Amino acid sequence: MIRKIELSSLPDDILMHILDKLELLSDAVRTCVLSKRWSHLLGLHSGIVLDISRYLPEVHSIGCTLQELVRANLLVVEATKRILSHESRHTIMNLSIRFCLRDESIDIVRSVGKAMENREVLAAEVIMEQGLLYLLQIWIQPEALILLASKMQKLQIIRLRCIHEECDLTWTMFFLEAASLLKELHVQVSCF
Amino acid sequence: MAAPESGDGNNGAARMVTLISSDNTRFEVEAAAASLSQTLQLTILDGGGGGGDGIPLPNVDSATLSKVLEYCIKHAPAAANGGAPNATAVDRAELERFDNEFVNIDQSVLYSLIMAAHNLEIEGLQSLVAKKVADMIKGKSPMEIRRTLGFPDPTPEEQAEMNAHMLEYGWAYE
Repeated sequence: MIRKIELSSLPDDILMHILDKLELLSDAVRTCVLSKRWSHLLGLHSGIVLDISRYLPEVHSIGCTLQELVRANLLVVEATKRILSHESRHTIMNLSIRFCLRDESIDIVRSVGKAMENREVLAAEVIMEQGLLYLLQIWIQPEALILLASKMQKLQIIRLRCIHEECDLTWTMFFLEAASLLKELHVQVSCF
Repeated sequence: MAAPESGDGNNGAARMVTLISSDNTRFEVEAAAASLSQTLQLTILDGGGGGGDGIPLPNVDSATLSKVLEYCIKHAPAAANGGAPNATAVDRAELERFDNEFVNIDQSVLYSLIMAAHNLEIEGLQSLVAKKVADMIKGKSPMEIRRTLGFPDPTPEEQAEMNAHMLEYGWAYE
């Protein structure tokens, strides 16, 4: 006879294993509301992947309005802040955030910088869209970069995508200097 | 290749080991299959589990252990080939078919299995069951997840908490 075991009685590391198999962070967030015991599990999540295109009416839509873009970007900013605000010392295996270069996106950089101060981050992918509509040619503020640089020493893998070709060398040099333990660096210049 | 004492299935009769479940049922299984468990592997390499001795597994009941061994026996040949880089597409498809069917079972059995796989450190099985449970959760609302996973209906307090969560984590409900 099999002893009845319930999901909620499984130990944390097994639950984490299950949550890690959920490709979308939002699925994990909706699962963790089910039990008080699970609410801290979000802070243990080892893969943090957020993508603005998920919140847009159509993936890579050229036709989306500025309003839709701003709204989607705000959701990514909010999600990043929420997820990275969990008290945790667990290693982040993969951190990938795709957002739009707008003023409010500075909070993403701040959250990432803060998380890197407290947690070990093994691989980070920072995908900065130049503006899905060509409307938003806003460069990320230099002070935000300096803030991030001071916390990047332990980073091992960086992937930079959609970097404007005029700035690719500057960015590459910047990351090479900041992340002294870097093992892999991928750079892809502007995809537009 | 002569390794008569510790034949691993490459020559002649495969070495067998005995595993004893928490309810004292004895299972005789090829050492190669049992070695999928990282926990058992060392004992087996040291020559344990043979003859009348057997390896006691106080945390795994017989129904769960028989299911675990079904998985190990099926996956042992591929594991012996180092993750089977040379496996044919047919072999891989067959394993995939087996896996899909294998986890098509009652939820409490799934949870017993993942506990056992965790205790015995059988990575492939842990991953397989975790993926299955994750698939049952994907894309559902908290209420649907509750029902799917057999949680009782929420108390008014829990309902209020779920509503508050939805406001707080709006982006996760898009």
